[in-house]
Amino acid sequence: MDGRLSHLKCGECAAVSKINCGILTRRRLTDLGMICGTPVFCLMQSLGGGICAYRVCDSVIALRREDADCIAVKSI
Amino acid sequence: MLFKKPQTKDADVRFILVGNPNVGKSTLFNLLTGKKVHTGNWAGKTVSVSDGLGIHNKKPYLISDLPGIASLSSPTAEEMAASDEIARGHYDCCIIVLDATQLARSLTLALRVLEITPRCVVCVNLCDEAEKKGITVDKNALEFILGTKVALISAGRKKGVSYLMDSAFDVASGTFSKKVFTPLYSPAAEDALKGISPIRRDAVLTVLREGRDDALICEMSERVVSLACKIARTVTVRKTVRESVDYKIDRVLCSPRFGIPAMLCLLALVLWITVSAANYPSELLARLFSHGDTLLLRFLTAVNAPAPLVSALVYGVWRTLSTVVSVMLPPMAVFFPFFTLLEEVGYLPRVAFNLDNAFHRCGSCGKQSLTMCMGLGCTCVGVTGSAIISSRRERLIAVLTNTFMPCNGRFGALIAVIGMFLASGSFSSGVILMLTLVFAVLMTFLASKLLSATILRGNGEGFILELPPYRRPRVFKIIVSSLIEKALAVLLRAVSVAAPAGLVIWLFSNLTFHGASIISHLSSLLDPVGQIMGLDGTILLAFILGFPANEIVLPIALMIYTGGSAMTSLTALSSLKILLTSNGWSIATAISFIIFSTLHWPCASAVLTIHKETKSLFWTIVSILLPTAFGFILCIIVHFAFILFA
Repeated sequence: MDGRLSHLKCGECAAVSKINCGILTRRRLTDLGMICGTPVFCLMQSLGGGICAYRVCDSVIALRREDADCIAVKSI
Repeated sequence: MLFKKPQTKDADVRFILVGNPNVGKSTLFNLLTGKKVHTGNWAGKTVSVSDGLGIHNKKPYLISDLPGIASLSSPTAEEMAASDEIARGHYDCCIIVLDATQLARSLTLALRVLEITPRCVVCVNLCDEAEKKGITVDKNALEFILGTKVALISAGRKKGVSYLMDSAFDVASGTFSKKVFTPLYSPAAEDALKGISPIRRDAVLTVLREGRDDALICEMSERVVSLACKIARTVTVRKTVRESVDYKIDRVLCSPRFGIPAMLCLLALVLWITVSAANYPSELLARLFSHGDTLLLRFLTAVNAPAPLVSALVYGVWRTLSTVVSVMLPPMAVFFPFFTLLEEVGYLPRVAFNLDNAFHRCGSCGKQSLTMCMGLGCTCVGVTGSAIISSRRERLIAVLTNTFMPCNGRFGALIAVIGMFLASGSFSSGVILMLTLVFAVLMTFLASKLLSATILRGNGEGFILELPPYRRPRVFKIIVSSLIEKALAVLLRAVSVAAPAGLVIWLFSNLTFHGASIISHLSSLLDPVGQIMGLDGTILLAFILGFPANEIVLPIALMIYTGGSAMTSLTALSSLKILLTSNGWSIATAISFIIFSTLHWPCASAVLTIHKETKSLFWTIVSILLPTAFGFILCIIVHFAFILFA
């Protein structure tokens, strides 16, 4: 399943292929462990689906849908 | 090894604490220096550098606690300041603190720091938490790979710190010098670095600080991150691979269906316990103070003190002090430890997660809920804590609306008024107090929406929220230390602000001018305004005079009502109610009081903090006018609603 991170449903896993966010956000995400090939696991969504929690490396971060839209993933 | 007052102030050894946010640097700092820098389980707690003195094996040393940094190429002012400190090298050893439960993540920063600092020691903290999750770190393997000394510690349980300080001193004195760790980049990148500077350390630093060569930075970051992941995998042993408890808890606390109701239930529970637990100490303190009252009176008559002095001291100073301490102190002292417990456990980022949607729609972000939570303790803390919000626009919104959340100082008056006029027991008091807080939150949303639609227009910027692993709080230690800390803080404020204020009010209540006291002139002046708000001139005057500290508002109002002299002690809620009703208070007045107490200008120290934070007179004035306007308008609406429907 190739697509965007925001398309991942709870419990699904995918590998990051490209991050298309703004420079600052991309650097922040890289520092948090999101690099090409890293598996990302979707943990849970908030009310309304506006923000979603993902496990990357060994930490849990929450991203808004518009930022998750900018991250391309491919299936593992 | 624990803090003993060092004999000399000019210690000639200096260490700095560096690491990701929320790895326990501040806890370690507190342990080493005996200071009480604020700690909590969420990223962004420490926003400024703290310095302290520690002593190890009779050798004193200076140690600085830096704010957590995500990486050395981050744009926020605090992170830049921290990376400057590391690069400058004005220290004898840099202690890099890692989190054993999130080793890969904290290793990313560690590898970066290792690239640019000549003298350092690596310290893996939270080993006790890791153990509980079945994770063990192989110290020798890590030491071998990194080429530095590694200490496995648990700052919270005070374990392993001695070895850490031994290592730090070894590095400082030069008895142990490390092999420089260099992650190897691609040949093209290495050439680019050599081109910038022959000294690799300077080259790396220049590239990161300037932040211009995006491709190079990207490549360097990716290499460091993948190295960190590999190293973490090599040195960590996980005993069990089961779905972590954290995840199970979060499935409920952050779920779309149960997240917000769970929050409300938790809040109601905490407030209910606050109200009922505060009852008994309140009465005890009230009795204590009225004994003191009689003793003071007796003493003063025995020394033949003049009547005005007796009146001033007993009714001006003592009564105000006793109302502040017996009515305001107990709820503050009970609520604060609860709040600290929630902070330590790591629940607050989950609140931000649940509320982000709502904040986003109001033009702000979920991190504002963190500053609001801090504002529940003290508005000043909430304002300085807004540094965790990276966008200046959203930060301003958080600062300007922070005072909408009732701080601890207002809790006492709210609980007293709710208990007197609106609720019949501690459970209903707790529920109504919770509704008041919900009201404050809704008003914050409204105000944020208003600000972002008018004078603070703009779009949200990339928002990344970290949900740290839950940590087992040191329950007993937290309850005791925050109880004592809060009680002392309130007592100090009572003596330094409330007592003098009481004296001044007493003076103005008893100095007459054209037939009536200055106070009564002022309160009749304000009366028309007060009446349309459903209050009266005295209450409004009390709010104005309560500008130095919110805890004195109700005591001032009481003192004005009694005309600066009272026949009986007024610290029992029942007698307070009689006094208030005889001065025209009703349920409607109570509701208007609650609304205005939540929505009025920030206190003096908050205004100063806002000015320091925003560096602008304009925004400071907005921060004063915004909540006042809200409070004014809402009180009028409620007052007229009462007239129409009751």
